[in-house]
Amino acid sequence: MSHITSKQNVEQPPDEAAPEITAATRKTEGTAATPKAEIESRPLTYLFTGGGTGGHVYPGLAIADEVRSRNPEARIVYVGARGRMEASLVPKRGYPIHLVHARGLPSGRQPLALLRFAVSTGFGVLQSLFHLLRHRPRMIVATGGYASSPVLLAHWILKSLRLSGARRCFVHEQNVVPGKVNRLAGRIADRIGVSFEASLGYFPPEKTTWAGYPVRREIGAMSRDAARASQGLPADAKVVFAFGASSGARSINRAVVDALPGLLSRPDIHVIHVIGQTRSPDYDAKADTRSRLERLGLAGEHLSRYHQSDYSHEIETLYAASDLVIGRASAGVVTEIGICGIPSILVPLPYAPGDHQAVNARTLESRGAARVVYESISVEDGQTIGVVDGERLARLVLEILDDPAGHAVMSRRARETFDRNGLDRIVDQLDQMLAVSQARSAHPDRADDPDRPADHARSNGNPDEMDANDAPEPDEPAGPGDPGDPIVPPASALSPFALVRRFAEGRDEAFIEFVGEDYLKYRVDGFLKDGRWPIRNEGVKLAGLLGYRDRLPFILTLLRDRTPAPFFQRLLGGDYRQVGFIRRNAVTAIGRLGVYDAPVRAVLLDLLADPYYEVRSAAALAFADLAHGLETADADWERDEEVLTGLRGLLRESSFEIRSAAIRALGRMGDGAVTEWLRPFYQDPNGKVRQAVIDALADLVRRKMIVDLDSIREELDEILVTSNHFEPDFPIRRTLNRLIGMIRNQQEAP
Amino acid sequence: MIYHLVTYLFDTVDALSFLRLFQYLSFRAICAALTGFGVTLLFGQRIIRLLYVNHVRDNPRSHGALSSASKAGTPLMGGLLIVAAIFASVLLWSDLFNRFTLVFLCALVWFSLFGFIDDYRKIRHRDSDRGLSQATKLFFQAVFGFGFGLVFLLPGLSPVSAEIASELYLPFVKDPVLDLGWWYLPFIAFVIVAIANAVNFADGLDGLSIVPVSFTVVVYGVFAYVIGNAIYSGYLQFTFLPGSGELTVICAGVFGACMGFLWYNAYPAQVFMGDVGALPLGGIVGTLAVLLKQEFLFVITGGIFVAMAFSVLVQEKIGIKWLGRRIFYMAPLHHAFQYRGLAETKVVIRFWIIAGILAIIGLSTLKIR
Repeated sequence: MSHITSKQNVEQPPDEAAPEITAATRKTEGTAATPKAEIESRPLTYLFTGGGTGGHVYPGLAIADEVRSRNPEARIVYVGARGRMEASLVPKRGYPIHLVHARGLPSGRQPLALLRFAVSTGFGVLQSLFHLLRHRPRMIVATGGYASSPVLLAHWILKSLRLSGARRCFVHEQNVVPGKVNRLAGRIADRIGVSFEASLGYFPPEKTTWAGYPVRREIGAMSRDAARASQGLPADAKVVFAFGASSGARSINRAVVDALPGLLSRPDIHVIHVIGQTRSPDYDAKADTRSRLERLGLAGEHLSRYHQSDYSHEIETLYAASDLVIGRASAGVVTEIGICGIPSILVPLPYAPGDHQAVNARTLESRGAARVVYESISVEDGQTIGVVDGERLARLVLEILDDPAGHAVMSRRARETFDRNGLDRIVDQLDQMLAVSQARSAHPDRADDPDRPADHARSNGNPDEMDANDAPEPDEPAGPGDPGDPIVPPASALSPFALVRRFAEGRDEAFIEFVGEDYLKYRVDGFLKDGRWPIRNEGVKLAGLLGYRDRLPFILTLLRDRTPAPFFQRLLGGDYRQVGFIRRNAVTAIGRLGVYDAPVRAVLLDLLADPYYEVRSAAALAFADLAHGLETADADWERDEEVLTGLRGLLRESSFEIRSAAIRALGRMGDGAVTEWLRPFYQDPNGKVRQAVIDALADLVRRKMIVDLDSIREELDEILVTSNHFEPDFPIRRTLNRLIGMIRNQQEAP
Repeated sequence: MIYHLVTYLFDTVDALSFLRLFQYLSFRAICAALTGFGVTLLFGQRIIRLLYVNHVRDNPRSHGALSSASKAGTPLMGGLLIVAAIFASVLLWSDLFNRFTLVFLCALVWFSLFGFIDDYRKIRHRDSDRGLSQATKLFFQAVFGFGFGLVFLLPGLSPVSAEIASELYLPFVKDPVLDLGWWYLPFIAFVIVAIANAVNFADGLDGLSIVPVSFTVVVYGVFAYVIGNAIYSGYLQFTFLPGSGELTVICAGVFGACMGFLWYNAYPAQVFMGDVGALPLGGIVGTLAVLLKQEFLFVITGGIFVAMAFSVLVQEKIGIKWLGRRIFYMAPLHHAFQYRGLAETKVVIRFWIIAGILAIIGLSTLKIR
């Protein structure tokens, strides 16, 4: 069924599925256009809620605009969180807003933060109860984000007390992977509309439909020339429009500024840069961008083609005017630029829930509608931040702009990927829900008729197959040969633990090619800067297993990080925020990466005195591994006195593990003189230590460090060879293996 | 059943009065031990072959124990053998109307059943990580613990008299230290869960758990003999529990079955007991401890198990999950010793020695009170 205009819709609800209801509605009031009338003397009130970030506010506002345009008499009230995006956005759109207390669920288990969350939400629920009772809305529209949780909980309370009357609740989910609030809301709501079919599985099926993303009417409505004229841009220029999320993104802002010299050197390129209004202690978008810009010292002529603002209320005009968009890959942004048919360079927000931005971006890339640039990580003032290479961004922009044919293809592909009827479908559904609840209150005997989601919503227009394949299938490991999913393997295969298991035996090249090395690196970066240590730990292992040498500086920073662990952990033997496992695995990763330069050596030397025993032994072994690669024999071999002294210090340790590691390392790094240090261990009570001594002596002999071979041979008699350890040998298994080998050989050789 | 048959015979036929011998606990205990041992020995070889042929084999774990790779493919579920032997000796030589016996049989059946389910799942999925989850096992253990606690505390059902059912006794102390009332119910559940798990952790090396279990069972058997005897219990100042002497026969049966299993399980093992063996063994030791009101005796005699459980909890829950570091080289304890370079046989025999010494210390609490 094709798109139905709003006009038709008002006069004739397209609801063949429920003709009775339509009839009932007609009977009571003629048309659905003024559904208040006799039943309620109050004006029809919609209460919108959702927010915390712009991504949850804009869809709500788009729906509100459409509701108002269909029914100018409807009252619209917005309830949002204090001090967040909605507080400024909503009044600007001309809707009254009530601010309530709300707080995001803290990650991790900090009791204080949880308490603050509980108190704040409890208070918010009380406030929301008051607003619900005061406005008595007929319809609640929630668009997700923690700002909507107090209202939803208040509604749930009223509903369970049977005080909500005929009030209906609609929840819209914008992302593939629903947020925490919306998952909860799925139980409270009467209906749920999702933007991607892949999210259907997260909600009760009987009340969930695919609705699409509500794109405002203004988006894509303006012509390019008019837009450029209004912005004062030449009609024949190439316009690049860059913006982070509504709150601004440091990585994008900095990369855009860094890309300016490359871009503005072309006389026909204009750059529109909306930097956002972030002002936190970590990052002040405006000041940071200004100082970076000053450092570049661009010529005045160049700067005249750089248009910067903190915030734009006419983003639709900017879209219409631009040839290329650089931005985040949130559902809203990708849908909007898709509808406008603009090629884009997407920088997904790392580690968003379910990594949905990366999924969005990769999907568009696989359709040929966009290019993806992943953030990598860097440390600045002791803080881990995401960075994008500005020069690389500039090259990519020029590549796209310099190829008009390719540009046209990208533009077409973008347009094909999205349909723009989401808004209509959603508001149709709201109307239908109201009509049903109206009918129900008019004819209580028909109350058994549940307001089923309209079936037409699914088949309407171009069902967005974009994410049809992305449903996570937790138990099915994805292999490169899996035909099910050409784009992204299921989330479970990309979890840090699954990746470590997969690469433990070495680089699985087929899988790497399948997933994309860039994307894999970006995943690893996400793990490395995660707040939870078990994730960081897997990130460190992966960096080593995959041989990402460019992450070495970051690993070294992790190892230099001496921030103490929380008090209670220290009480039980914890030490630093980068816990023992992370440090041990980081050292092992360094050993794997095989780079032995001054910073690595300095860090490893420090770690020989680490408080955690496994780190000390791993550091000694890392020396052994790395020095092994440097073995240049006689000519330019040099005794590293400092390292050898450090290793010698470890020989006094009580842990046999450390002693063995240090002894092995001495064998690899030392010269004939170290045999003197090894002698006391010839009769060590622990057999593994003696074994290490033998290995070390063997290394020294192999490296031709021992001159007096006769005396060393005599000394070998001193080594205690009785041992508590032996390795069992089952001859029957050996023979069987030989038989199997013979059979295999004969099978292979015809 | 022999017990019931013989009792019937000498009651009715005067000429058979010499069969009164079968009334004596000590004689029946010896018979039970021989039966348990005999049954395992007799059917061991056949059952092991049957298990192997039906692919009831241990799969190499993807991670964990050190030298197990070389033993991959060893038949699993040898616990069936133990359970069957215990059943045979108990059914033949015990008074089946005794409440202590009935509670014991319930424990044996319950723990064997879900141990069997656990092993069966592992074998069907060919993956030793696909058995019942830790939480499910805990749940089943706790269900039994609470059910057993309820029976124990309800005067109409309990094998012990109501006045002392909820009293708490400690080793080395003559009188009960305090009356827990209904709080004794969660305490029983805790004891069952703790002991069942502790024994389960110990099942990691050939013969490692079976010998300490049999030592523990012997100690409890001796205690049952004393506590169930009015004269001895009076002399050694224990609270007399009428009927508990029957547990001596049962303990002897368990001991026999354990020895028979060790015949095959000794290094290098021909069969592993699996959860169908480890869970019931843990479950019945826990049940014995509660039935004889000697829960804390397990801390001494089962010190090996307690140490292993403790090392696992500390290592996993505090070290690996929370602090992000190892606290022991490895856990459970026996792997830590292997890691230090001790061969499996050495570790196992040393643990046996320690278990034996702990059993002797446990027995000394009979007199030192």
